[in-house]
Amino acid sequence: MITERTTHPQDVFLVANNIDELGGVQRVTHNLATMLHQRGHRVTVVGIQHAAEPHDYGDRPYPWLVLNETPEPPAPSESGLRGRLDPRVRAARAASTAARRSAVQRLSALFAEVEDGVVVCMQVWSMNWVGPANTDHLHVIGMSHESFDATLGSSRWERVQQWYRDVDLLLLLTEHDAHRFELEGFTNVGVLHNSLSFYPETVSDQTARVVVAAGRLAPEKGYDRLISAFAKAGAEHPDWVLKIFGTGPLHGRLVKQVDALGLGERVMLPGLADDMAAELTSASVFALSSIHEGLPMALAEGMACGLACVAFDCAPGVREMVTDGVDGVVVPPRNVEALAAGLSRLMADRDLRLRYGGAARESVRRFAPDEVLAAWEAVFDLVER
Amino acid sequence: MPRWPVAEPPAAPDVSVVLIGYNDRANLPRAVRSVLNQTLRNLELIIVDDASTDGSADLAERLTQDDARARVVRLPVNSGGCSRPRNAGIDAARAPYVMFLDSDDYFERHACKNLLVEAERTGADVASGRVVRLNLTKDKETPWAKDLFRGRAVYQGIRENPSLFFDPLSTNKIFRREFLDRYGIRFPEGVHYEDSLFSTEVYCQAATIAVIPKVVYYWRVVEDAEEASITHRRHEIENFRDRIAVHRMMDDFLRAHGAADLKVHKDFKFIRHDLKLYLTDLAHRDEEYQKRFMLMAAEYLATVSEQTLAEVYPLERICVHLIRRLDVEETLRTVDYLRYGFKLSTDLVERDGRVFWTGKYLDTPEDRAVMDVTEMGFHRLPFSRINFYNQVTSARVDGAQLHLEGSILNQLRRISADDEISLLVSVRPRGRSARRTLPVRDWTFDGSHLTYRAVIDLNRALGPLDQPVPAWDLRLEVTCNGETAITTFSIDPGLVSGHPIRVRGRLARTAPGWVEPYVTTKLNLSLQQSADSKVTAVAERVSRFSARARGSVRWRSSRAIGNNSTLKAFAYKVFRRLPVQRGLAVFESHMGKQYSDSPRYIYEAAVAAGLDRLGLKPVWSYAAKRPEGFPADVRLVRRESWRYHFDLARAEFWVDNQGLPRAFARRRETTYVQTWHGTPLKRMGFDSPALERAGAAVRRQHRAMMRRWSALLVPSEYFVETFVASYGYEGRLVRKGLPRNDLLVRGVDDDWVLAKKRQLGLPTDRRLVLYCPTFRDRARRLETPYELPLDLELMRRSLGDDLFLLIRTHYLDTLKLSNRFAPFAADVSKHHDVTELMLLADVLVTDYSSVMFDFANTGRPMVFFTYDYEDYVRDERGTYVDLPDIAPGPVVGTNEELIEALLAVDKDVTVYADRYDAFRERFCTYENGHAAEHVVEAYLARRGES
Repeated sequence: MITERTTHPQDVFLVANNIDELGGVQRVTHNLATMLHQRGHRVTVVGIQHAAEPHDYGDRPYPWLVLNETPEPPAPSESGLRGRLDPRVRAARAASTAARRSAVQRLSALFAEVEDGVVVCMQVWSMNWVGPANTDHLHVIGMSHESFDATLGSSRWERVQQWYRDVDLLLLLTEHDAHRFELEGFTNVGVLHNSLSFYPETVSDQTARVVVAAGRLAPEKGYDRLISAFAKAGAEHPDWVLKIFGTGPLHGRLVKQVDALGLGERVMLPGLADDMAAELTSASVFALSSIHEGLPMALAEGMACGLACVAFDCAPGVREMVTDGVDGVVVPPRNVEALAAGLSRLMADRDLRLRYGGAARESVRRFAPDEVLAAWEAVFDLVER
Repeated sequence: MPRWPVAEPPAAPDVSVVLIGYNDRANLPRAVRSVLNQTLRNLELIIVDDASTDGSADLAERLTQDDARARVVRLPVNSGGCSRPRNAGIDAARAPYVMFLDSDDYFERHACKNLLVEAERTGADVASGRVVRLNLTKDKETPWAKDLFRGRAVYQGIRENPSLFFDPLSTNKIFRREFLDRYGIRFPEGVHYEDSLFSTEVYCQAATIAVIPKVVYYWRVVEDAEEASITHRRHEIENFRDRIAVHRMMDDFLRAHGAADLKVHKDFKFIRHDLKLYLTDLAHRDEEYQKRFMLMAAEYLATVSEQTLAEVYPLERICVHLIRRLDVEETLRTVDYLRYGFKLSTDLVERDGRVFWTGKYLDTPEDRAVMDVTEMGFHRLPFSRINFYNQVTSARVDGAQLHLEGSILNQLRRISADDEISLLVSVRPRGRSARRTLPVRDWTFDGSHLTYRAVIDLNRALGPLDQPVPAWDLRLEVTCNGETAITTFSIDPGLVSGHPIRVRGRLARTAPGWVEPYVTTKLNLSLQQSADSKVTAVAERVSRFSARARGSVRWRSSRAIGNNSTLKAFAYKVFRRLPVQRGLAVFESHMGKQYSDSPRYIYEAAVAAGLDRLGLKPVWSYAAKRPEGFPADVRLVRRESWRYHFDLARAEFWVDNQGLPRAFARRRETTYVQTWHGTPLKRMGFDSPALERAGAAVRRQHRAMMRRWSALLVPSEYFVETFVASYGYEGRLVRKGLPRNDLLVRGVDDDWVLAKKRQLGLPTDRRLVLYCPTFRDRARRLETPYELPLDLELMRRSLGDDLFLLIRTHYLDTLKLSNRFAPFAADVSKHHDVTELMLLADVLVTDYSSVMFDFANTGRPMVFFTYDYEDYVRDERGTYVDLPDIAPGPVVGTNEELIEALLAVDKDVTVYADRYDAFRERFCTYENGHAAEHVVEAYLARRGES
């Protein structure tokens, strides 16, 4: 997809807590590394330590390494007299300090191999190593992949305060979150979206009578409400079906709900899709029924495939993505009636779906891989200015 | 390490920074560093030296010799201002954007980059950022014109936001060079306050103005220093003349450029900001200054239109009118109110049911309309909330005795001769709550003034001299028929000599110390410790050392031995083997922070039933350093103390509303009555993502804590479905309602209400609206202070005649309520028991607080002010029910809607009657007004000897 090579290749280090877990940040990190590598940048991916349950990401075209092959010994928590006098505690603390120092030295040595470039900390925890390492010749960019409120409510807030105030740039996922950081006196914030994993050439022709949703089958996704809403809306449109892709703990409960509603023929829970882009392009409507979201990329993927979407107004991220009445329908959160009405309206009107779907594809253009890559290169230019 | 290759200057810099300085060697290096260390590296620095004589220019050369981005421009002759150097800098600048910096201030690290990026993004002619004022004298930071910088904004011209006039600085902005050149905008030479004229021209000509909320500029302010910078030399009349001159030039400019309509807004800023600065100082100036000031100000204020005067505060309007009449004396009285702590040194006049600021100038209807302050509500203030003006007429020191004579103005003749009057001087170490008092017996009353002579023995009144803040505030407390008003000693600085007074006060009062009277910025008499002689310097060292030693001893004993939690936990296990002490009942509310809520009402019901009859020995737990607000006749125990462990281990009963510390396992013989502190709206317990995410260990701990409960009090089935279910509590439920709501259900008699209002100093002639916002837990960890979302000024204007507002914030949110609103609102956040406030309130305004479920028991109207509903409900916790679905009253989002709802509150009662009933049915199901008695009889009396 990314063919043209850059004329200004950069040395880029992407540092994450670990790079071999099956998780969102790891996926984003490897996607980004791949894109940058294809553009001709010299990318190195660094994990601080191994994941508890490593996932095989296959052969990567760029170098990657794990800083600590074995986890660092934790610093003892005893304080006070015992913490100062007990030789075992002292020894444990010394060992922990030495291990950290040696890890930081290894990281500094890695950084010293380049003359200039950029270090991107995907998560703040890894700043515990990047912060003390020698980065004088590099630009350090911090990232946070969660909402401001989520950070504030967690132990990460202290680390964010400690490290992210001083980095050259701190990147957040949404304008809303960036502003919240600004209000806390962070003068170095900027916004950079995650990239879609695809932006297909062909889009939905809006003939298939399929509503689709995708995500973990967990309470916060609100699929029970979606099924109820579909039952209401589908009563008037008996030829429509609903497919919810994903796995999760609520599978059994949702199946039971579907059976109780007598919708066994029309509501499908097919598990994970092999080719999500294909599944989306062969549907017409995307539904987002979540209770909470950050910046819902599943919705953006649906929009990229030209689907008309209906979404609960459950997060600032939803409103940054969808404009009600322009490229989709936004309804009050947790309101089943409104969700049903929105579905029904879209089911009844192919022209409306085509209009919304077309506009939606354009409005998520900025999440397309090449756009996000361009944004990253603009960030590299910005820190370099 | 400089990142820019130093050999060559950048071919085309993005920004030119013009740094000007004159004889400021001390500060120059900081300013230079702040530019060269900018994260925007592609800039040029032009240092313009205004012919300094202290070698600043050479210093500048040295500071920048390693960096090719900088150069120094030397002006041949000193210009005496900022304009010529800045203009010279503009002429030398090569970048498409220009910024300005003064040598005593400095830039934030990302300032240039942030302003540049925003200007490029928006195409703005000028972009500005937030300023932080560093007050070096008082060592504190204050934001500057902060309302302008709340968020990112782009304005197509100043008419989209005329309040930009409140930010006339040139140093927190980036300017497009081509824009300055096209309109020929330069700094006016030979004029002080050049920034005001410059920015007026910029604002009027700019097609696009951008604002960012990021800090860009640190403005260092030195108060009253010898080298006070030009803008702070306010004591010279020439300074005011310059200020007026520049305002006339601004007016001329506006007129000449078809922008005369903007004068209204510019004048608004003149009155609110510029005039205020000079008025604040006016009392300290001599007669000659005052006279010339009044003439100049009056002449300029004659050009201010009625349209502007309609916008300013009523007292600012009065002030303008008094200046126009050249009445210094009356003007200074408005300043007493506006600037010196709302002192009422004016003699308010009541006439034909209206209240006027002064008895003068009431001849024409127009004058009367100006002087009419009825709507400010002074005449309706309860006695205790009147700021009586107490002026010291003579101050004399005799040994360690301070003799004060003065008089209190009998404002609105609220004191009459046959009242029971008593006077008390109180002395309070600053920052402390404890005060020492001395009665004043020598006073006379002549109807208009209460004249007193007070003798204050400083040896007795000050207490130990070593205070965290070595200063003492003096007050004169006037008690009239049982109600007390507190006055400060206003004093003319000329009356205070400032000679040190020798007092006993060190080392258990064996060693002397020195204090001296001084006048605070609000012109009140206070005392401070003085820098003193050798003898006391030694004594001070000794007492400091002993204080330190005391501290370290305490530290050791508390950490290592006395407060070892492991040891206490072990001791608790031992204590638990002792026999249970029959009837011992430990009460605790909100982890010991309050005497309140259901534990309080259970305790009071037990007292009413007779502790002896029940055989009950109650103990209250408290968490603060010193217990305040607890009843005097009950034994208190400090939370987590040894005694607390001992008591909990042997108690027969525990009564609590939140959760006793986890470490305390309940023994079989102990009954633990858990009352819980309210019905939840937000998701709780295992329903909340926080606990969902937390590990199994945390969930196990929670379960263990709840398994201790012998009985949980329940107000409704909703509570069972939400709270009880979410924590998976399986123990006994008592479906009898909450003791804290008993009085709300039963009601109280009018005498109680009247007495309570008197006690709290609340008005009795208006309906009380209780505002109880919930605590926003996201804010807890932020440094941003709590901001009241109410527009009090707007509310006062629309509702002040009929309503009085009680504001109760969460105890972690501190509120600063301006005294300006005293006739309309009171802060009752410190009051322990919200139930009492609910009993007084006629209307409740809340957002999502669980008080709504309690207040519903009164049947009185509620309004829901959910200004941040979106944010609050959509954070990750979520709510059990949607407020708009269940609200038994209007749900509003703006101040205007809130006011409308409060005006219509009586009418709405019928509209919401059905919803209200449904609400009570659902959330107050089991409330019957006798929950406390039930708990006492069913649990606490179980083993009592009746």
